[in-house]
Amino acid sequence: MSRCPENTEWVLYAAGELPAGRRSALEAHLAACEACRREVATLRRGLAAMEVLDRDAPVRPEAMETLRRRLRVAVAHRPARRPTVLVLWHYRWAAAAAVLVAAVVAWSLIQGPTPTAPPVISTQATAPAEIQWMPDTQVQEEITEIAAGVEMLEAGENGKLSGAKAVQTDNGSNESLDEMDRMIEMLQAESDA
Amino acid sequence: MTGRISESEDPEALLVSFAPRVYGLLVRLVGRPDVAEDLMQETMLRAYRSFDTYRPEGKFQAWIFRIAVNLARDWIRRRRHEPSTSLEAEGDPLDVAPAAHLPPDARMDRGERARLVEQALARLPEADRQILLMRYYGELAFKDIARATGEPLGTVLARAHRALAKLGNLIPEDKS
Repeated sequence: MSRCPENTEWVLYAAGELPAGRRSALEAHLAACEACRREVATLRRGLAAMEVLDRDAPVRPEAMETLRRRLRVAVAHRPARRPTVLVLWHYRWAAAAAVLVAAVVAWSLIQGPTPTAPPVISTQATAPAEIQWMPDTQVQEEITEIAAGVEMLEAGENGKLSGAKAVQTDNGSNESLDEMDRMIEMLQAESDA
Repeated sequence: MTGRISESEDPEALLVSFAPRVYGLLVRLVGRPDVAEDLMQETMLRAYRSFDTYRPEGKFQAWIFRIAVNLARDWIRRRRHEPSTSLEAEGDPLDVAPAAHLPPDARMDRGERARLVEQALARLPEADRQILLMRYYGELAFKDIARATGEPLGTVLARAHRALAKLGNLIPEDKS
């Protein structure tokens, strides 16, 4: 290694935070570079100097008691952590809707596009489960009875209707003829004049 | 002290066990034991309140020391903006230690050396000192410090180099 490494790299080296491969390369350089050896020695001295300091500084017992008391208060006022299930329960309707939409989309994708068809009214829902057929004789009687009723109705209604129509027609026809006669007479009189 | 915590650990007990180390960091950051005590307690309370946000894959020390360092920074920043107690008027509480005439005596006892290191640390720029303190008290790798402070690794290493070089040059080499 001809060029000296960056100073920041020597920091990592002195602190033992370099990967093994890079460390070996720097050590090879150190063997040949007096300036870098001095540099590393200074950094190591600085790191070693810190070791004389006590990591745990004594805290006054009163301060520790205050800390414990404040933490107890914080614990007492801390809202209970809700289990994940409860948190998810809060969103249950959104989740259900999402599942439903996903199911519909998935179903439509599976089925493919469907041609629009007129709605089919199903009679199955209102049809009885089993059709009870009448006996033939009863059917014949029913038909005869209905036919008789229809004939009576037709007779009665036609009578009323034809009578009313005849009156109306006769009156209307007579009035029309009279009106035509009057118009012919007026035309003839004018032409004569 | 474990780097990572499990869900079964009691947060309250864990935080109390970390108190002396967090206090040790803070008292060297702010230079005042009374303020360091307050900040230590605030650090623990904030850590407790946001315990749910701690991700077990990260180092617990890095997480809690980041809270402590941020609180210390806020305190120092506020103090600088207070006219009646400005650092310019009072002098930086971290810079009150005598700087010169460090005795080049290699046979100092541990207490003397500790005092010397404290003085040397106090003379460092605040940001540089933070890096060394976080590494020592938090036992954090430089990349973890970079993550905790939000600074690029290169910046953290540059600060560390400057601080270690000063410290190494001020502290006499131990030949014993």
